Amino acid sequence: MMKIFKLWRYPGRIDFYRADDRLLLIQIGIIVGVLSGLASVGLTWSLGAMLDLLNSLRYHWWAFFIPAAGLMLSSIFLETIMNEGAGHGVTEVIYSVSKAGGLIRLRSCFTRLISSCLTIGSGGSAGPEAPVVMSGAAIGANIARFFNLNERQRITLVGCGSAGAISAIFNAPLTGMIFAMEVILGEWSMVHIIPIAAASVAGAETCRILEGNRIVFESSIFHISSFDIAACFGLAIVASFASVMLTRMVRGMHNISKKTPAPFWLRAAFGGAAVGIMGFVVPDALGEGYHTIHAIIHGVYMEGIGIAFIACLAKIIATSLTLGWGGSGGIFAPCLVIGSFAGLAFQRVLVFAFPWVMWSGEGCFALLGMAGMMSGLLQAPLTGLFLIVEITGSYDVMVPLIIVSALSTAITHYFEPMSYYLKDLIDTGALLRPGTDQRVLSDISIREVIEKDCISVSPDMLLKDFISMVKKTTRNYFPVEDTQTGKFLGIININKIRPYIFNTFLYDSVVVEEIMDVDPAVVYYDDDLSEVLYKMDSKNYFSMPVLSHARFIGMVSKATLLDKYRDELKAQTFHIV
Amino acid sequence: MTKLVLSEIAKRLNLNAETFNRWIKQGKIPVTKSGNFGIFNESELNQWASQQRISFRTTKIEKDKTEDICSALLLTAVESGGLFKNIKGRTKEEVIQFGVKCIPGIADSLRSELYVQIMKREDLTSTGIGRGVAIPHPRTPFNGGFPHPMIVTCFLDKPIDFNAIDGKPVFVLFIILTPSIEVHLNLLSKLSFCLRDNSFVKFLEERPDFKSFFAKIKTMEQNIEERGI
Repeated sequence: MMKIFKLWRYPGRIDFYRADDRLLLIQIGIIVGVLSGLASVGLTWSLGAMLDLLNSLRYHWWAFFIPAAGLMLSSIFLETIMNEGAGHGVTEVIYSVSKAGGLIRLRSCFTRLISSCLTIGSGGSAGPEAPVVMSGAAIGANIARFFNLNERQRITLVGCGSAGAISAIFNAPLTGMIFAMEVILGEWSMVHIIPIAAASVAGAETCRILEGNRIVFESSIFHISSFDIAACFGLAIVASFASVMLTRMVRGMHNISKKTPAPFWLRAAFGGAAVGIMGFVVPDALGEGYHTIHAIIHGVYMEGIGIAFIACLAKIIATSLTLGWGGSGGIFAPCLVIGSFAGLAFQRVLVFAFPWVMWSGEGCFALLGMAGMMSGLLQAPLTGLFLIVEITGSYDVMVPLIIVSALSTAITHYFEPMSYYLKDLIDTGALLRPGTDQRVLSDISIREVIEKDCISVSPDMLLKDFISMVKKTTRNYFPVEDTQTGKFLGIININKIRPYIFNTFLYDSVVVEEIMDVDPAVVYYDDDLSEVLYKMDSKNYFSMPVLSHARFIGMVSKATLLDKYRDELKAQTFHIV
Repeated sequence: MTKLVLSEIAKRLNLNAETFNRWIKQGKIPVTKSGNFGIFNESELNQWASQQRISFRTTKIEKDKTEDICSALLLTAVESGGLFKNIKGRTKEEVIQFGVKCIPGIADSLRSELYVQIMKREDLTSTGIGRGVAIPHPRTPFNGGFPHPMIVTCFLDKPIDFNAIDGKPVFVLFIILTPSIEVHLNLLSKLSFCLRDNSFVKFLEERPDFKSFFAKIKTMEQNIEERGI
C-alpha cells in the first residue's frame, strides 16, 4: 500500500515513463494548463467584479484615492504580508528557469493574482497577464516538485504553466506556446514543444468552457493595399519609439521612486494618486484598457489626432507611474493599449497628410501598432505577431504584421538591446539561456574539475630528492606546503625549472624553496568557472592551483576543463535534438 | 532495471561523482536516485553513454598492465631469453645472424625477418653502447611486438669490431625483444644502469654461466628497484 502511494508521488520511477518522459510531461502539462487556465479565469472575474464595485465611485472628486489605496494595499500585501518583491513576475520566472532550476515558491501561485487585482481593479495602469504567467509558472513548478521531477522536467512544466496562462487569458493557444518558448525558456526543442502545446490547449479550453469561445478583439475584414504596406515602415518606427519610451520611463520612474525617502507603501500610494489624477483628464489611461482597444479596433474611437496622441503619452506615463512606483502588474495590456493609440494616431496623420490615398481602416493600424509595440518591448517578434493574429482572428494583416514586428524588434534593439523582462537579469549576470557558454560554465563547479592527485613537497627538500621524486610521477606542477602549518607557499612548474634539473652540480646545493614560484596566480575553491577561465585566458595559464583558506586543494587545468565542458555541453544539448 | 551504489555508477561511467549527482538532479542522465542508490536501465544508459563521449563499462575497470610487469622485468626477460656462449663469426652480420638463430621459442620463418629488422636498426647507428657490450634490437616492436619481453644474452667467441661508440670490440650481445616501446625503454634503462657498474662489466668479461649470471642480475635489479632509477 505504502509502495503504491510512494510510486504515485514518484511517477518518474514508473518503468513506463522511464524510457521517454514526454508522455508523463504531457499528462502533467495538461493538469498544469488547466490550473493556470483557472487562475486566469479567476483573475478576469475578480477584476470584473472589482470594476463593477468601484465604477459607481469613479465620479466623485476623491476618486483618485481609489488607485492610491489600491496600489498601497497591493504593495503592502506583496512586500510585508507575503514577503515578495513588487514587479510583474515574468522576470522572476525567467530567473528561476535560468538559475534556480525552475523552483518557484508555492505562495507565488496566488500572490501576484491578488496584488495585481488590487492594482488594476482600483484603476492602476497595468496588465493582468504577467501576474497570471507568474502564477501559472508557480503552479507548474510546484506540481513538478510534488511529483519529484528533475530540473529539466520542472523547467518544462514552468513553461507549460506560462503557456497555459497566456493562452487562457487571451484565448490564444498558439501565442501561449510561442510566448513560453521565446520569452520564458529561450529554447526551441522538441522535448519542450509537445508538453507546452498540450498545456496551452488545456488552458485555452478551460477558459473557453468557463467563459465561452470568444475572440478578444473581433475585427472586421481589412483590405491591405500596397500603400498600407509602405506605411508599415513608418509605423514600425513610431511603435519602436513608443516602446523605447515606455521602457525608459518605467525604469526612470523606478529609479526616482527608489531614491524617494519614504516607505514603500507611501510611494505606492503616491504613484496611485498620480495615476488617479491623470485619470480625470484622460480616463482611457486607467486600468488594463481593453475596452479602449475594442473601441479603436471597431473604428468607434472618435477623438481626433491630438487626443489620440495625448492618450498615447498619458498611457505611457500612467503605466510607468503604476509599475515604477510599486504597483503590481504586467506590461502586456498597457503595451497593447499604447500600441493601438500609436497606430491610431499614425493613421490619422496619414489620412491628414495624404487624403487622396484609400488608407486601410484605423482598426488595422491599431492592430499593427500593437504588434510593433509588443515585439519591440519584449524583443519577441513571434509572440507579438501571433498574439495579434490570434486575438483578432484575422489573417488578412499577416504581411504588414510581419514587417512591423520584425522592423520594430530590430529598431528597438538598436536603442534598448535588452528586453524589458531581461534587463535586470542580464545586468546581474543571471540570464543563462540553454546551450550558451555561460550556461555550461555556470553548471560546472570547480569541485568537478579539480585534480587532487598532486604531490606536495616541503620547502627544505633538496633538488636531488625532488628530482628523484619527479621521475616517478607524471605531473608537471608540484605545490610546496609548509611542513608545520600546511600553508600553501608556492608552486614548482617543471617547465620553468627545466634548465636546472639536468645540472647535477646543483643537486645538493639547491633546495625546493629557491626554485619555486612564490607568487603564482591562484583561484579559490568557490570561484565561478567563468572567472577561472578569465584568469587563465588573460595570463595565458594552462594550469592553476586551487586554494581554500590558504591551503592547497588541487590543480585546475584548461585541458580537464575543456574535457568537462564538452561533456556538459553534450549532456545539456542531448535532449534538444 | 539495475540498482547500484551511486559512486559505483559514476566510477564506471568515468565521471566525477559531483558531476554525476548534479546530472541526476538536473535530469541530464537516464538514472534515477533512490537514497544512496541509482536505478537505471542498462541498455538505455549504454545507449545514452554511446551518444556521449563517455564509455560505459558494466565490468569493473581493469588496471593498466604495464605497471605490474615493471618489477623484476629484467630478470624475467633475461630468464626467458637464455644465455648462449661460443657465438662464432668474424663480422657484425655473422654474429647477429648466429645470435638470431639462438633465440628460443620463435618460428624459423620469423628469424630471417627479425634479422633484417635488427640490421636495419644497426644501419641507423650501431647499438654497441661501449665497454664491449652491444644491444641489438629490431626497429619498432617487431611483428606487433613479442608476447613476452626477452633478452638473449650471447657471449662471442672472439671480440669483434661493432662500430661501438667507444671503439672497443664487442664481446657480448644482449638481443632485446619486447612487446612495446615502454617495456623496451624500461629494460634498456635497467640494463644500462647495470652496465655502468664496473664490477658488473668485469663479471661479464669472465663469461659466467647461466646460474651465476642469473643470480647477479637478480641482485642488481633488486638494488635498482630499491634505490629507484
